[in-house]
Amino acid sequence: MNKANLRGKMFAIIASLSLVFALAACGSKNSDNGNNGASSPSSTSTSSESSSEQSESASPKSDVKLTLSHWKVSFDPGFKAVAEAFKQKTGITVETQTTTPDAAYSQKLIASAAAASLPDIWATDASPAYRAFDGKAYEWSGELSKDEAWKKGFLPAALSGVTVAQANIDAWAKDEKASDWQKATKPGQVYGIPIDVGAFYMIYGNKKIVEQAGLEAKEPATFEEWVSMMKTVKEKTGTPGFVFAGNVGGVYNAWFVNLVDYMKNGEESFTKFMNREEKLSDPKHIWALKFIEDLTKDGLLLPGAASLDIDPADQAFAQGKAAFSLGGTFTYANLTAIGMNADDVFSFRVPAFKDSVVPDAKVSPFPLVQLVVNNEGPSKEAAIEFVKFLTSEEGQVLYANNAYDLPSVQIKDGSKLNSSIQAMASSLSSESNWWSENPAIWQQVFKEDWKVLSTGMVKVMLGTSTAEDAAAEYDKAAAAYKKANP
Amino acid sequence: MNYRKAARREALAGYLLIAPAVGLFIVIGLFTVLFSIVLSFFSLPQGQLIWNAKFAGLDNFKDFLLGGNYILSGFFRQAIVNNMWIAFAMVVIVIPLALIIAVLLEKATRGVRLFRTIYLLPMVTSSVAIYYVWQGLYDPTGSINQLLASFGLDSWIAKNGWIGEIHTALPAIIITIVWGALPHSLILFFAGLQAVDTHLYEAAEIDGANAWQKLTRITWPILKPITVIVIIMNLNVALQVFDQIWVMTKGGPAGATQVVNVLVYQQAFFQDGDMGVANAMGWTMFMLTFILSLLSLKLFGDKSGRESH
Repeated sequence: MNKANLRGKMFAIIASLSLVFALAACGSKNSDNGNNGASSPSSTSTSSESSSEQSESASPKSDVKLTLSHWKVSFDPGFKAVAEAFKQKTGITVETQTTTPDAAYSQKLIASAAAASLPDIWATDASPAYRAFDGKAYEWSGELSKDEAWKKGFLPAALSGVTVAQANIDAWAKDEKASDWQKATKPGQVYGIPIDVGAFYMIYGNKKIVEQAGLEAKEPATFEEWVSMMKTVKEKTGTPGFVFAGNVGGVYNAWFVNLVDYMKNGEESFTKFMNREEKLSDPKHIWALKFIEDLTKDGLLLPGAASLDIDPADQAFAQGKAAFSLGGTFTYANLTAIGMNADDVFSFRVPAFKDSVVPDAKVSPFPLVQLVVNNEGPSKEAAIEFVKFLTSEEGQVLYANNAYDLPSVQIKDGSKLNSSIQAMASSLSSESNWWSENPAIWQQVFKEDWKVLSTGMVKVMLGTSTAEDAAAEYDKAAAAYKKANP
Repeated sequence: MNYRKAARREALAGYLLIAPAVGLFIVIGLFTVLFSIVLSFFSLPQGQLIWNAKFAGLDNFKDFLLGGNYILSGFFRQAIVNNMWIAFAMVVIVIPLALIIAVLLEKATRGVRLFRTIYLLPMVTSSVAIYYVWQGLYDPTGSINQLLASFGLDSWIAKNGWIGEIHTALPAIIITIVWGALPHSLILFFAGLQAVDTHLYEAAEIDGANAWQKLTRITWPILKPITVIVIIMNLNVALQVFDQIWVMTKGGPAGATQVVNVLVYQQAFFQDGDMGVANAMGWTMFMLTFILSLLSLKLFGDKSGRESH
């Protein structure tokens, strides 16, 4: 081996190492830019845009830059509008990072929490102590007590839906999947601030199709009247009556079945059904599959609905392929976003059967998304300030109008909200009732055994199983679930 | 002495050069694999941080393999059966089809470029985009149903779409997977055929060998080791399939196209799932793939190796 060769090799080593360090330096520079010292999570498959690149000369100046991570593409304009107004007031920049789909976003958050690199603020589904990551989230109860005016601004259901209750602690105590930190939480603690409210159980109707069938586009008085409307539409126009996301199990179970069953059978029987003490094959509850069976036999379901996800189902409805669609308050924004004329839609709560025990059950809105502040973040105070601004009346008007979302606070001057949001907000009750006070009961539909009901429901939709057989399959799964989770 | 010193220096330079790559492999490759094995013996509910993992022994495996969890084991059983159907189809459809097309291409004198472009198409197009195209073809109002209707074959139409009916969804997905996997097998067989020395055929002809004898005595011994690779490759595709199913059906309708990797994904990232169970399922699938690959090697590998020498 001659010296020239060795020198060449040493040069190659030095060059390689320099390249590695140079690349590493580039990487760290980027992350610093994004977060002002706070390490930000990986940006793979994320879109990151600065909310306001140029600050007005009149606005205060600040070097603080916050990162807000979320997974709702349709909410991003709302966050950006609030961030811009916040910058005008404080000089603090808020950068939003959107990561989709929600499973990827969840995993990114979990990994960031484990690596102690959470963003300053992150959005999650609204639920007590959810995604608080064993105390990495800021606890808000002190701030809420300190600022009574801010606290009083929230809709009661919005704040109660994110506050740790004794019932949550009791449930976590029995739950093997709950962490020790969750079990040690105290009633009244708040780890996320709700930024919106909403509700499932909405049926959307296509005015044009319904009127073409010679019917009046208005809320049917009963479940039976609604089915009769679908039959008339099919008969007169040939358009199938109903579409929903059959391939997403939770949609039919959690957006339709639980409320209709509650209205039909009342609190006691419904609670027994949810606790697996009454069977699905019981004549009181089998309607959930019989309804699908009848729709299938009468050709009232959109062909292919069994394979549809939520967005394709909304698209099919918006394209006029079915007269009615199942959704939530949040569906409205989606329908208008994909080009459906707002004047062509009418909506109503899922109807109750004629002889229902609680036919006039009011749907109370519950919080859908909450913002969580990083308790260990370098700009914690600024993040708290931003979340408080976003949930002030001023911030909520900006957010709601740009995100087409229902605000979580009371807006004294409703005319500040756009007309469609005003209409939806007025259709919901803000009063507390049995349904809003007992989420732990009706949320049983999210448990594992209900996946078996979803599978059976699809089989009934496709005509490969009867309602009775599918109900028997579910009853077996429910019994197994109850045995494993007494 | 100087020589040994220089050799040592050269070795050191070599180690230093490969150190970043080895370091990356240890951190990213080896660590994640070992971590995944360890995690398969722990319970880590979806959403919980890693330090909340609890040792579960073999419970995760019992849950889906031995019916410890009635619901999960039902879903796993259905998924593994579907994986096996896909694997069966990959071996009995892809291999003969790829071999036939390779022989025809090898003999073709005109239009070879055009055919090569066609058979390489699935390899060069964006897979997700192509799955959406297939989804469109299979739609209730898609081209396949429209074509059948135009021929008056209304009774053949899949009313809910070809991936929307329980009995047609899996075959429709298999067609998509076969279409995507064919080029890889075809290229290997085609390369194998081109490696055959034409003098061997000429010599065989002089000796009076017929077409069957040439195929079994000259072509097949050369293609046999390639066939083993193709079988293992296709088994791997069949047992690791995920993207086609996730984009086109998400395992539906009613689990008709559910496969283990989709179940693993749902267990790992969806509410009520468990990262430990997801890892246990993944490693079970790895063992199955490994055993089937070993069986393939036993059936074809050793003998063909000796014969081809």
